[in-house]
Amino acid sequence: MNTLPSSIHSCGIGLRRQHFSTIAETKPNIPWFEILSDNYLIEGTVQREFVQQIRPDYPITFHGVGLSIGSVDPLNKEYLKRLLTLKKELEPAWISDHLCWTSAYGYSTHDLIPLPYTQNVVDHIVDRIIQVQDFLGESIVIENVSSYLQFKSTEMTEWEFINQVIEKSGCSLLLDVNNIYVSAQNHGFDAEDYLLAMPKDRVKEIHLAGYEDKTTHLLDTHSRPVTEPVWALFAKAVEHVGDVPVLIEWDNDIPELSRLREEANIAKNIQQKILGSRQ
Amino acid sequence: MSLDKLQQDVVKAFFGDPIVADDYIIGDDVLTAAQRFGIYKGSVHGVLTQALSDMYPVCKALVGDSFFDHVTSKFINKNPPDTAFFADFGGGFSHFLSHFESAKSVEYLADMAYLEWLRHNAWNSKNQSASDFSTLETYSVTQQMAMVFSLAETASLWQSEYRIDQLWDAHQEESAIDLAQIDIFEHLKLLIWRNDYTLHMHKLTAQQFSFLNAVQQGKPLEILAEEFTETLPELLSISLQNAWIRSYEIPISK
Repeated sequence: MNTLPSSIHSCGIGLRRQHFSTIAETKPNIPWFEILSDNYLIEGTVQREFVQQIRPDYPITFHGVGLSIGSVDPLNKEYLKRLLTLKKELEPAWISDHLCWTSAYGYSTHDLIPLPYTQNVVDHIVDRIIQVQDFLGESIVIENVSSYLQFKSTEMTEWEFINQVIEKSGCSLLLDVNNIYVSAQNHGFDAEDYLLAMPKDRVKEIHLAGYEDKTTHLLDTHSRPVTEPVWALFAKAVEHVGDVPVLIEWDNDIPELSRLREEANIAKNIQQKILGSRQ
Repeated sequence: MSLDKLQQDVVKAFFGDPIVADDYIIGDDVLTAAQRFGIYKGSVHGVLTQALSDMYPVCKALVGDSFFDHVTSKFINKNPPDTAFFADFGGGFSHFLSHFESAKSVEYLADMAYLEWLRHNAWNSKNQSASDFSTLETYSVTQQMAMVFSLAETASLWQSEYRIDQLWDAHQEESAIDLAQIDIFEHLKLLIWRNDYTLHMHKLTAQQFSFLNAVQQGKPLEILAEEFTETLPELLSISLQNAWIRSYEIPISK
């Protein structure tokens, strides 16, 4: 019988190795953790053993970078096999990755590169998402990325592109509110137009993070607190999608776990206020 | 423009090939197409440089931040990552350093990189529980002679012409080793391995090294006995005491 906790609700935190000992020693009251699945794909490593150790106490989700769903390369079978093994071992509530490409022509960038938004690319990605879902035996969750460039070959808006991919593939959406804001500032569109165009019934999770202002553009560094305009956009996102789990991401210049929990509490309070006022 | 062509040109340009960014990317008054491409190229190199920096902290300390950034940038362009598994990236750094002309003034730098790579590998290899050696005596002499021992999956045996282990140690916080007191030009035979959350480095004697090397080659106890004759009991004993040997197997006779 499955006894592992699986309920993902309220505001979770992205699990980072800098907090392993604090979590093991204090067992903090955090509703759930999102693990960066790419870091746990080798059996028997310290980090994998740590997650096995805390798993009975916390629900978890997987979040990856290596799927490279938008790549022209064939899907990486070895990567998928390891992901499936990890899934069976840790039983995440769901598995997410990004709507972008991270590898091509045998090279892996380990970074999130945007796609040209065309009908051909929609069809290409839908086909690959369906293959991944068939292999993993479950619907996956795809995240909108932040971007600093737009390709000339793009034929549609990013939100039209996302809607088509979600609709045709049957996957769900990980709505990254910070990414919408960063891309809107970098490309001069209205973040609310994008947000309100999202298929609200398909949003499985919301991400929040901090960016860095480079004056010519905003850089999605995940190294800062969530900014005021992103909190404001998050409030509108909650109004749009309702009660959806939220996650605080922090990947660089990582502070104490307590600081991340403060961010999570702000998100929780905004969410509760808006959801409460709707009852 | 096909997605195929776009990804081929863009990914190759991340690792040094030229690209006419205007052919692919929309530029504007704020940032040109080349500048927008540059943000991504900088980000890709930044992620990889950070990974190398985390993997090779003592090498970085030995050459300084500026030279390390220079050499890692060259390394990344020559050896772009070809795997989705981040832990596998950076393995050729020691070899690259050994041929990098301006790094040759620090003659032990490539060896330090190799040690740091072995340590990285030990952290990222499978930890395993030890066999129950108390039952060894329950086997028949024939079974014992056929017995094959194994080191930990995380273990590496390595030789260097320098005391890289001491140099590495001296660069750790709270190290008791005084950098000035190290006689760097001393031959080193080393075993690196991990047990749970602890990574061990043992300086070995020549005989211990040969013995563990023979074990790692999968030689059965019968062959080990022939090769190491009267020193075998002591070698076996110290290997078990230190948990260098983690497990054993007895081949099933047909």
